[in-house]
Amino acid sequence: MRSDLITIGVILKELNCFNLDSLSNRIILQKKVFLLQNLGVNLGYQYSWYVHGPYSTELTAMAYECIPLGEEQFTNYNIKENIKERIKKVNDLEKCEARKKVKLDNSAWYELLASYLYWKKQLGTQDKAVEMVQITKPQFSDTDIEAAIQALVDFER
Amino acid sequence: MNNNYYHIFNYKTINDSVYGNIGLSKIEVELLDTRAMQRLRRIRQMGFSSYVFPDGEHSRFAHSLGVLYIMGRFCDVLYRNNEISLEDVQLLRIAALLHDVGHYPFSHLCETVYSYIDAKNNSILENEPFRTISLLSDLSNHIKRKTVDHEHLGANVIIYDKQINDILKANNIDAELVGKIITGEIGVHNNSIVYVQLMHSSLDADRMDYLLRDSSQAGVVFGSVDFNYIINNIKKVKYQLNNDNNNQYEIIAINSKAQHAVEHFLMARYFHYSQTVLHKTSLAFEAVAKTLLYKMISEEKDEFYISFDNLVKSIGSDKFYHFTDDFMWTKLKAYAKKSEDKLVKILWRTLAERKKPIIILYEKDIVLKRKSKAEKQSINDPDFFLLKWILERHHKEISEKCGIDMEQIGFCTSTVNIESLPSFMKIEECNDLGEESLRDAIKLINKENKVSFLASDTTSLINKMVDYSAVSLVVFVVDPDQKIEKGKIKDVILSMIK
Repeated sequence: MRSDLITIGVILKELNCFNLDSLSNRIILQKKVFLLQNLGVNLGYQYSWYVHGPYSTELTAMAYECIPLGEEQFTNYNIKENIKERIKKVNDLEKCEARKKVKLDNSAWYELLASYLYWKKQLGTQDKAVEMVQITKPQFSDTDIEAAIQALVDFER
Repeated sequence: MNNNYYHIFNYKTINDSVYGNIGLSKIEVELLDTRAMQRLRRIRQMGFSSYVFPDGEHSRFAHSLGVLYIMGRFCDVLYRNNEISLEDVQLLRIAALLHDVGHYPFSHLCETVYSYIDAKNNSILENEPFRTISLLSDLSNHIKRKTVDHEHLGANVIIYDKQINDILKANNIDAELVGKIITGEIGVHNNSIVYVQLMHSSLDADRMDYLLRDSSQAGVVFGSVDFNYIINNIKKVKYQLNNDNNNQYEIIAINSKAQHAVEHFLMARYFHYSQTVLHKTSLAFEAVAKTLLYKMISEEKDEFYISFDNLVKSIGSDKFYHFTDDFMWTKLKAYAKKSEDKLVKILWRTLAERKKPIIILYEKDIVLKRKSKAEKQSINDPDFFLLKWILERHHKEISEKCGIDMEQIGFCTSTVNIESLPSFMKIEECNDLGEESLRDAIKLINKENKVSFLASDTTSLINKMVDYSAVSLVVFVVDPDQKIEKGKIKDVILSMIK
């Protein structure tokens, strides 16, 4: 198998998002990879802002190529320890304490986390990022945004 | 158009084989004279396509001027209709002129090598996985990482090259914004997609010039499209997506009366790709060049060109401005001479002496796209996919049965799409499946000012074709002595299909 397919296949499997069946699953896939890249795991995907927040065209194309091959194709690979830790951090975001304070489904939660982080990277400060999330994602309440910021404090540490 | 506009953009004119005269503003002349832009004179536009189409020897420099010309024509129309400011005309023309300033040598093939190196340097795995296909095949089919492509290198050149940065600063032009237009960030610049759309879409200045220029240079006739009529019918419109109540996007649409000219353009591009860019022999030579370059670069330790990051650091030094086709040829020659690796010698002779790789099999098919919702009647040739499957999984077995080193056997698959969208995707229903569609897809605007995707217009020929891709697969062997029996290898592969 091609080496670039092995990389993305293993990553999607470990991030528990080896699924493109629904819009929610596709959002989770996009945002989890975005969050993982933000932890310094260089997978080479360029993200731009779109309707559901940061989005990578190339990742969609690779996922559509890789997922039909089946999860079992990506089982016998040893991932580096530091990468495993970062994958765990991304997966743990859905069960962290801050998450319990809000009533959002998983795709909305990851969309909020990724959107906040995207604007923070683009604009540099928490205040500006919050302002942009409020403008671009009015469906999220101030409590939701606060919870996301709290979750990301531990995440980025 | 006012006199001032004409004078600004005709400060100097340059003769061009495709368009006649190309007018330039004073800033553009200054930018053209920088070392970074002059480097592009020594990078060929068509890579190893010139091994098949001998006249395809023109440079990235000439192409950059052509893209500036097309962008200038787009801007003339938008400015005449008061849809764009004078400042934005200059900004877009500069982005067009500089869009290839970070180009790697040997056209796009070197980009794949740097992407492959980036993937290796940032591997997520403890050990490099056991390679079941040859390096020739792995590199040939590697999907490029956007973050190390020539556009990202270009965005860095614009910021770190002092000559360019000083010119932009002196003229109050935001260098970072120029970089973002070049790298194609969606939604950049106040929710306007216009800027990136004119540089990155199915009908952008870059594609228009390379279709016209490359086909003309290659001597194929596919490129004769009515680009003037298409350009004269563009219009800036505001569009609000159904599921995005907060943002109105500015987009470029084409008056529906130019629909057939646009369809002709898309068909011409399709033929240009399938017949010229993805010509089987060019693909095989490119695979050889990629492998040789990868082997050389990955064995170097301290050179400025060993990775994307090192190249970025070298911007501004003499070294970067010598990073051209000729430089790489010299390096490759020295490497091949010094190396004791048999494969390196074979690859070098194949390239330097133009010893044509032996084409064992060349299969083509028209297949239904995975994302399409068109009727799922099986039109796909199972043999094509079986052949691909066998090559991916039984590379070693094939080489053993034929008595040839696995590393001398390569295969390369390629896909050509008419448009990226599936036919069912309507602009009103843009969701994540069409994230990029607002930027990439061709939009039409009719007399009632209704915007639609060309691909979903049921009266368009494109709508009937857009759910299908043309795929091809070439299997080749590199043997500069041309002693390998083509028939034997072919029989071995075909017997595995049966």
